[in-house]
Amino acid sequence: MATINVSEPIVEDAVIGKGTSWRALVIRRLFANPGAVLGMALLAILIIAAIIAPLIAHYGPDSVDILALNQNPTGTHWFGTDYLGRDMWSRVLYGGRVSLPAGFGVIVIAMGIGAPMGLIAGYVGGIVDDLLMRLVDVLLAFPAILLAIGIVAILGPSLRSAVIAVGVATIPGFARIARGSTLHAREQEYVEAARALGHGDFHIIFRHILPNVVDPLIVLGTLSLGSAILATAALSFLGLGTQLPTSDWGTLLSLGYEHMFESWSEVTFPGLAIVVAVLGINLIGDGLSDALNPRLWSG
Amino acid sequence: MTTYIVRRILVSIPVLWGVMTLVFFSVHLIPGDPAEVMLAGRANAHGVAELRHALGLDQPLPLQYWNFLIHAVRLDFGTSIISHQPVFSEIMARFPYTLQLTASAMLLATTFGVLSGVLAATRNRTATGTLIVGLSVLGISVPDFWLGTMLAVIFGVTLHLLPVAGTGGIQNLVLPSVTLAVVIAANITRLTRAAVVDVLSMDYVRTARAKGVRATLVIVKHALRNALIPVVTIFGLTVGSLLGGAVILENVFAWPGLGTLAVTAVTNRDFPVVQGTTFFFAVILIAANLIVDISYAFLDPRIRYR
Repeated sequence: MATINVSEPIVEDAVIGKGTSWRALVIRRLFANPGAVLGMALLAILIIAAIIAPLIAHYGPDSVDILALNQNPTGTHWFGTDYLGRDMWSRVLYGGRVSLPAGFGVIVIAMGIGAPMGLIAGYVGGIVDDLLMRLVDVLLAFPAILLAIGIVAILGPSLRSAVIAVGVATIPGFARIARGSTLHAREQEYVEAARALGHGDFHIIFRHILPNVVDPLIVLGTLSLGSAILATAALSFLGLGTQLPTSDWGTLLSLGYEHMFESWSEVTFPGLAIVVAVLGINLIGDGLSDALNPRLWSG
Repeated sequence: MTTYIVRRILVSIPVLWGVMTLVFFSVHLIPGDPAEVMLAGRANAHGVAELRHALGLDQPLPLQYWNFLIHAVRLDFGTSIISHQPVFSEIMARFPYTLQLTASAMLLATTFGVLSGVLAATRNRTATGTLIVGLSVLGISVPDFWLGTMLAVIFGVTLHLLPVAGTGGIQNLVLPSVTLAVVIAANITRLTRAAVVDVLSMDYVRTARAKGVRATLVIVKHALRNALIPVVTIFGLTVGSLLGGAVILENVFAWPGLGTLAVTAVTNRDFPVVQGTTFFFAVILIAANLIVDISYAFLDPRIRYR
């Protein structure tokens, strides 16, 4: 989903000096992109806030104050309180400790299974390729969120099931990208040279093919992280993910939804947390995809 | 052209078979006895045995698989264990609602998405262009179920302008379809912009401009036509998945479409309905893909000869 600008290539002759590695160049381009920098800042703030939640939360996420039910934001309760008088600022902070790792867990599963599938399919080819890619086609035949819901139906509702379910539903993208890049890399001369030198398949895949497949995988991984956080929150919202008393942003939203007639703040802030996280990630993803796109920088 | 279409249809048959197989085995992946899990304490041992027999779970696995395939081809997924209605008629009762929601959301989203995408591309690197790009990134980052709830809080709870749930009239359709349209329009905007920006740098566009063709005409006849392929792709795939139910959003607005049917079935562990709806969604998505591929061939004659 990267938006690609090709109308005005930016020439970087001054930057591409001797001894500048490709990685250093990509990182430099990324930091030169205001959107990506904003994205990194947003995500960093949320991650740090989740880590130091016990230090910056004013109350425990579950401590009840029956004298302050359904309050709008005040000086003591920055994000207001919920229907049990629990402090929403604290609950949103602690929710990030579940929602953010859940998103990363999804990517670990999807990339951990999808990328090797694509590498093997692309490198081995033939019937192995056919079988693996038909499996991917079958997974793609289901709308992703429904596939995830179906998997939760089998595993039973829990955070673990939700992460596995969204992870499995995210596999196809990674498998396809890895396969496509592998098919291209396999035909390159350096692979032929490695083979002529007598290196085995294992060595060729890890030393020569994988480094060429990593870039597109990182872009896809970043952009998928945003949708992974949305999807796991959606499952929790439906009651199929994180189970109470543990709350992630999705369960907070669903509680806020149930009480939307009493208070607007209970539903607003968990949602804003999701928006900020996903927006940050999408901005980084767009920036990465631009930074890695040679067409944009070749002049 | 006909060969292309026939070949494309033949390719979807194994995928369809794979889908049926996966849907069949899903029940057998449930840890424990599926019949017991489905009833979850709602029945005694006799009831469990009865359900096991009714679902054919007491037969040998290959025979179960064969029966499932035969019935699935006839769109027969048995009866719901909750409502005792045939699964397929339940699906058909819900389908018109999902169709309504999809049609209105897609109409809104495509109109606004394509217009703002073209605007962002022609105003590339101006304030307008940057604003549209920024809004579209924001649009794809917003959870639709949250946006829906917020709109319900604002227009329903606070301003009392629109109903927040259920069906009844056109006013009930406003909030769910606008919510859905925002997220989809953001996607369409991003794709249209990227495609049009790409096309605008092509030689034939420069030639058309050099000949003195009017700017609007260049956009419509040269740029937009060639930029349509990615837009048609996202259009087709979105329609496909929306017809499969705007799963979460239907639940937010208590819209009685396929999405609420599927989620209620999962919550109730009503597996025949889960299997039926999942299969139905997959068939629609496969069909949408097929139509997208065939429309490519119409839009770009080169594809037919590959």
